[in-house]
Amino acid sequence: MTALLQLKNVSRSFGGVRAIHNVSFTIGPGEIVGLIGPNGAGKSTLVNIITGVHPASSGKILHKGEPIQRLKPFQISARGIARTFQVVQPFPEMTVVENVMAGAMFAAGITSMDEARRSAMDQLAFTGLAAYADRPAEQLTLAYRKRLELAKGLAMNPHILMLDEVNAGLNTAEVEQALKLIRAIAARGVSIVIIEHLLKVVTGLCSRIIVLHHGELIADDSAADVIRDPRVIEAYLGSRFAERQMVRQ
Amino acid sequence: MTRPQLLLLVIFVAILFALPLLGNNYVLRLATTALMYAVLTIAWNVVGGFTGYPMFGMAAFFGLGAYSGAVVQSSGYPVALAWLVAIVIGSAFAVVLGFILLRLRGHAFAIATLVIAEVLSELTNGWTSLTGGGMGLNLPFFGWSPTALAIFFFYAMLGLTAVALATTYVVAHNRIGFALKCIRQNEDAANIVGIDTSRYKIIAFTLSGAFAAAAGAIYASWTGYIEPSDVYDVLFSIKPIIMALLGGMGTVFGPVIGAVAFLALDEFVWRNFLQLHTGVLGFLIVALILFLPSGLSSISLNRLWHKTASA
Repeated sequence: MTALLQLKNVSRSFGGVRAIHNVSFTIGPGEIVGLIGPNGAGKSTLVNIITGVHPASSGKILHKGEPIQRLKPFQISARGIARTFQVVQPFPEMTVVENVMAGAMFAAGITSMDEARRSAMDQLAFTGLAAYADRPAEQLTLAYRKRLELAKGLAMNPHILMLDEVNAGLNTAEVEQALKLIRAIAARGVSIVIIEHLLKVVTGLCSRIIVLHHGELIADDSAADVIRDPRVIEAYLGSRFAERQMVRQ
Repeated sequence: MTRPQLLLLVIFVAILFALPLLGNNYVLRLATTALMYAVLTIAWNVVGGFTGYPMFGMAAFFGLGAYSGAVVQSSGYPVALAWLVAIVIGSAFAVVLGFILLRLRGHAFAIATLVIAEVLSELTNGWTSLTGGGMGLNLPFFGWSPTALAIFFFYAMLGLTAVALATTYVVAHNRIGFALKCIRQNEDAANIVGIDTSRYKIIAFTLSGAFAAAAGAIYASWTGYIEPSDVYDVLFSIKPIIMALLGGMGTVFGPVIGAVAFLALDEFVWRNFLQLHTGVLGFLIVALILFLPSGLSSISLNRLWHKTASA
C-alpha cells in the first residue's frame, strides 16, 4: 500500500536557522495523527512546507507516490491536501457561505457557482454554521471562525486535512464541540494531521503521535508510548524532570 | 438591480444616445472626454478595485495604446486596424508587465507601476524615427466636418465604454471576479483554497491594459496629434483612481458614475472659481470621499425613491 503522504528527509532553513531538519514520516489513509512539540519546534513550518507555502530546501514529499515538493500552494490544495491556519485566515468582508464557496470552487474544482453554494451550505450545516451563512465572516466569534476554517477546508474536498491549532483560544465547551467535529470528519475517511498544544486532546484523539523538537523528529509512535518516551518528556519539561521520571519507572 | 436603478440607467443611456442630436460640439466633446475617463476608470477598477492592487500606471497603457495606434494609422492603415493593434500591444505589454510586477504588493507595487509611464515616455522620446520623439506625431486628417468627427468619436468612446462595462459586469459575476475578490481580501488564504493567484491577477491586469490602450488609441485618432508629455501624463494615472474613489471602488457602475461626477464637478468649479479652481476641486473631492467613503454608487436609490414618494 502506498502511503497517502510521505515525507523523506525533508529539511528547510531560513537563512542560517535550521527550522526543519531531516524529517521523515508517513500518513496513511484514514489516520488521525497528532503533531506535537514545544513552542518553536517547527510544527507550523512543517505544515507550511507540505502545503507549499515555504518549499522544502531539500528532501522529498510524496502524495500517493508522486512528488509534490515543487508544487505551488494552489496546486497542492487541488490535489486534496487542505489545511487550516493557526491564526484564522477568513476573507473578512465576504459572507460565511462565500468563504466556504471559495474552497469548493477552486480547490474542489466545482465550476457552477450554484453548485458551489450548495456544497458550501452542506459543509456549513455539517459544522453548525448554517444559521450564519449570510453574515460577513468578520462578525463571527473566534470559535466560529475556527469552524469556518474547518468548513472551508472540508469544501476543498480533501483526503488529508491538516489542522493547525484549531483549539487554541477556545474554552473547554468549545474544545469539546471542536473534537466532536474532528471525529466526524475522520469518520468520513479523511486523514487528519492535528497540531495541538493540549496533550489531552491529542492523546484522546490520535492513533499516532509525531513529536518535533528543534526542527527534528524525536518520536513517532502510539500515543501511550510517546508520552512515556524520555526524549519527549525532556523536550517538554527539561532533562532533570526526565531523569526523575526514569528513576521512578 | 432594483427598479429605480434600472430606470435611472435607461434614462442615462437614452440621453447618451440622443446627445449628438443636440448638435452642440462642445457638449459632445465634453461627453467624449467623460466616456474616455470612464473607460480608464473601469480599467483601473479591475486591478485597483476588484483585485485590490494599488495601481498607479494607467498612463503607461494609455500612452502605449495612443502611440501604437498612431504609428499604425500614420503609416496609412485604416483606423480600425490601428485601434486593434493598440489593443493587442496593450494586452501583450500588460501580460509581460503583470508577470513581473504582480509579485510585488502594496507600496512596492504602487511605486513600480508609477515608474512605467515615465520609462515608456523616455523611450518614446528617444525613438525619434518611429515616434517623432519630442516633436510628437501627427495623424492623418480624416477630411470630415467637425460635427461628423465629434459624432464619430463620441460613438466610438461610447461603444468602448459599453464593452468595458459589460466585460467588468460579467467578470464581477463569475469565477474570475470571485477569485479577484478573494485575492483582494486575503491573498495567502486565496492561494491556500486553490486559487491560482498569479493567473487571475494577470487576467485582471491584461483586461485593464487592453481597455486603457484602446482608450489611448481612440484618443490619438480623435485629437490628431500626440506627444509623449501629453499621453504619458501622470494625471492619466491619478485621475482614474480619484474617479473610482468618488464613484465606488470595486463596484461595476461606480467608475462610470465617478468619472462623470468628477468631470461635471471639474467643469462647474472651473467656470465659477477660475482662480481657485484646483483648490476648490480638491476640497470638494476630499469632502465627498470623507463623507461617502464607499463612493457615490453607495447612495441607496431605493431609500431616496421611498423618501421622495412619501414626501
